[in-house]
Amino acid sequence: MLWLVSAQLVNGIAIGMIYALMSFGLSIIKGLLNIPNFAHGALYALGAYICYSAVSMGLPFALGLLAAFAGAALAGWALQRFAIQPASKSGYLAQLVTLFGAALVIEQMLLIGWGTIGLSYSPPPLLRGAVNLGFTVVPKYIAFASVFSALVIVSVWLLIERTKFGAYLRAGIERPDTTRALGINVDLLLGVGMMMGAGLAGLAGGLALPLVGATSTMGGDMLGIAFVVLVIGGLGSLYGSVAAGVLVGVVQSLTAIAAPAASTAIIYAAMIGILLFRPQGLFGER
Amino acid sequence: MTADIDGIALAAEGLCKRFGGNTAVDRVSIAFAKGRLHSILGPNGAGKTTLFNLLTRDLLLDSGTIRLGTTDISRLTPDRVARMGVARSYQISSVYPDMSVRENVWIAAYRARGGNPFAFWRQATSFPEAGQWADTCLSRLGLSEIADVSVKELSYGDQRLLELSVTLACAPQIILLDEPTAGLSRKEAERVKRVIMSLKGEFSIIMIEHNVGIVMDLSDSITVMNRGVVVAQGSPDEIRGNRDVQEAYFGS
Amino acid sequence: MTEESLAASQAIPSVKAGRRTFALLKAFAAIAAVCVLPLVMPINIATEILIYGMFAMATNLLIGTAGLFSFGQAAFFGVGGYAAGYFLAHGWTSLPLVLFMAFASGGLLAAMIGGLIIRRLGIYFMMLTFAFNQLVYYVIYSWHSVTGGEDGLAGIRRPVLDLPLIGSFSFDDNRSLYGLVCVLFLLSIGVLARLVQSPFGLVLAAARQNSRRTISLGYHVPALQLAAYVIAGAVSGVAGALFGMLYRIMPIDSVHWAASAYVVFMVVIGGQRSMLGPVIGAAVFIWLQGLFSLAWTRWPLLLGLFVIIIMTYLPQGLVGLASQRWMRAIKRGARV
Repeated sequence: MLWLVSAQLVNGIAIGMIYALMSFGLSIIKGLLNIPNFAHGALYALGAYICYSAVSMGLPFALGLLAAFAGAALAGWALQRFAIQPASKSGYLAQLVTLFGAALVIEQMLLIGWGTIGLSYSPPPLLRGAVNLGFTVVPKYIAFASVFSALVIVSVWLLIERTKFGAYLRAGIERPDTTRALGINVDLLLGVGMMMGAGLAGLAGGLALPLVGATSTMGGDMLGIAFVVLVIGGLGSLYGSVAAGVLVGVVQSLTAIAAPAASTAIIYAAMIGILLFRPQGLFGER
Repeated sequence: MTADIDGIALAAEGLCKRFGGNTAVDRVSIAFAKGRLHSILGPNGAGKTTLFNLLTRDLLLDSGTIRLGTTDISRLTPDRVARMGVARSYQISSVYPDMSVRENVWIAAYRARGGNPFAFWRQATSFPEAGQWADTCLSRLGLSEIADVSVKELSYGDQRLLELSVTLACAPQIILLDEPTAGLSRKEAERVKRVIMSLKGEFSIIMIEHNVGIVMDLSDSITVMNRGVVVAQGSPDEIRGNRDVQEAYFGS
Repeated sequence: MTEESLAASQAIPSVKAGRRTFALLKAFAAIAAVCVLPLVMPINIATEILIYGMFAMATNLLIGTAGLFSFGQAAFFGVGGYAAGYFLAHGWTSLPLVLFMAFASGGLLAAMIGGLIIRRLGIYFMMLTFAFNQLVYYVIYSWHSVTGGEDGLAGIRRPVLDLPLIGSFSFDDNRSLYGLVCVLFLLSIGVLARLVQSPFGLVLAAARQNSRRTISLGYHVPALQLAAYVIAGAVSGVAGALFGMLYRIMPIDSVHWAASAYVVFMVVIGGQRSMLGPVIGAAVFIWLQGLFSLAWTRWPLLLGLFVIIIMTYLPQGLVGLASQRWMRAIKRGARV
């Protein structure tokens, strides 16, 4: 039993880290552009497909992840430049609707480019197999995904909190008007923020590829979960979403031991519980 | 100020409100007499608008109690407090841009005349009391001529007057005015001043205002706030004579 | 012109009479339009346009009037369709019964979800509508024994209307079903148009423009918004039921998030500021969908691009554009 629980716990942390990457990206975009990025799920799927193509071309998995990040970031930039920004003159609802439009376009492009059949990929030889820790066995890829995601989140955190660029970014999130008044190129800032957020979604997709494969519908499911994670974490805090992501992943995996069918239902139940008893979220301020 | 309990319209005791580490309103106790005009003076960031938001329950209290007459309203919702006769105007114009001037006032008048907001099936025009009351409030501020103009086309000054008119249409007992002359030209401010003068006595008025001239001319009593606490309280003459306030406001 | 505008001069009787004539004219025009529709296109398409027109009008009560950006309305359309479809597939074919089931299940689900989320604002609210849509999709997808899961709920029969003395009337024929859809469509347009002009609609519109001010005028805004949410859910449920009757199947795609996006597309393509806008948006959308899907299996891509382009160049929607042109023409005419 302990063996099973700890195996699922480790599994949950890895999945939770992928959720955390997703919702961290969503938080950044939400903070800077004040929109819920409805195309975030599509960007996640895009990352998975790009990573698949890169490794099938013989590139190492690490480069595949890099390509997933870069490709999704590029798509995020294009999204900001050719959809959100032009639509912003037409009002807020127009921006939201273009995001949905973009999600459809990206998902269909995935089908055009990679076909309708789901793709799967096993981790590179180095990351296959498992490490025996005595009380449990941890698949190497699971360990890698967790540690790698954690490193990415920490480096983005350092970028935001410790660099001049990060200071601009924080200013853009906290006081958009002042930032504009200070003569900072806000459009550039928004573009870069969108790229970062989208890139994180793509990276999450790349990391998820060896775990769940790549399908064109993976985006919608993931987006629902990422929104749930944000609601549970609380919208106010940038890092609450990271903690909530890991938490949701772990809870989901542990539920799967007792009732595999209920593992998705449980996170929605958790969301309803949060709405009822702590509507500001676990880490949000009232 | 030593008005007896019967003469108190609204009273607050020990109000506190913190935002993060910053105490915006710090143990403020204040009483507003019925039928009087009571102004609140203070520099920016003194906590005046926060105090208003606490009094109307727009913000949750950290601690303290608020009494409307003899009723404790510290736990009520803002719409409840409004229905009990407390109306307010906002510092930033809070009018409905997609509606005409008359419609703006009508929304307030309908509620004040006891209209049911869940009347799905009634035509808005089939409740003449609300329309008549709205027209009365419009004409009182001299807005009848522009009643059918879209709010988007109104000058800022007219928007401020409209906001006053909407506040009147609530048929309140107590009116809270948050900087009614902010951003107005001297002429427009003069007009608003005359309007407020005409409301005096009829309503209990609480006013935040930066124009010291208007405050001195209109007020029955004045409270001065700074950094979330009450610094001085008294009649206009007493406040004029107060050394601390003098330094802050009259520059002598 | 906004639908929610209050009569400018309510005291003048001639104006009132003029308005009544105008309203009658509009009613006749609507009836004439739904009669002509099946003559110019296949009857299935005409039926679908009216069904989605209903769905889009209900959605626009939230988006256009109340300013509640819900991106999960397919949940109510779907639940209404599945509830009515379940009864129809299992031998209960009474029309009033299935319509009531659709209305009640859509409204009840909206009351439950709305009760949880109506006080959450802005982005928070939008994300929650999406997430609850996913939850409903997930439940329907997994509950295979009742809903048919991935394959959709098949075997839906057309309902029967039993009238005392007259006998029973079945809707097996597509023309008679179209008649039923017409009646319900006209009923919803009448009810929703009246609702938007009622005090309820005006206060909702006020809360859209400035919620805080509306509360400070003494209105309990969340309760009004919840009522709007429930009404929209119930009408969407009926639309869903009609959809199931039309194709005799309730596909799982009807509750997918993309379906929620599509109905918002219809609203914005047509324009949010009128009752007719969403209906025209639905017609354009269904027509485009038909056109694109014949041309290319990847038609949603074209739809997505179309919406992005519309949003960039025609923010007011088609009806907004037409009325702008119209007003400009009038002004030009007045100047001459």
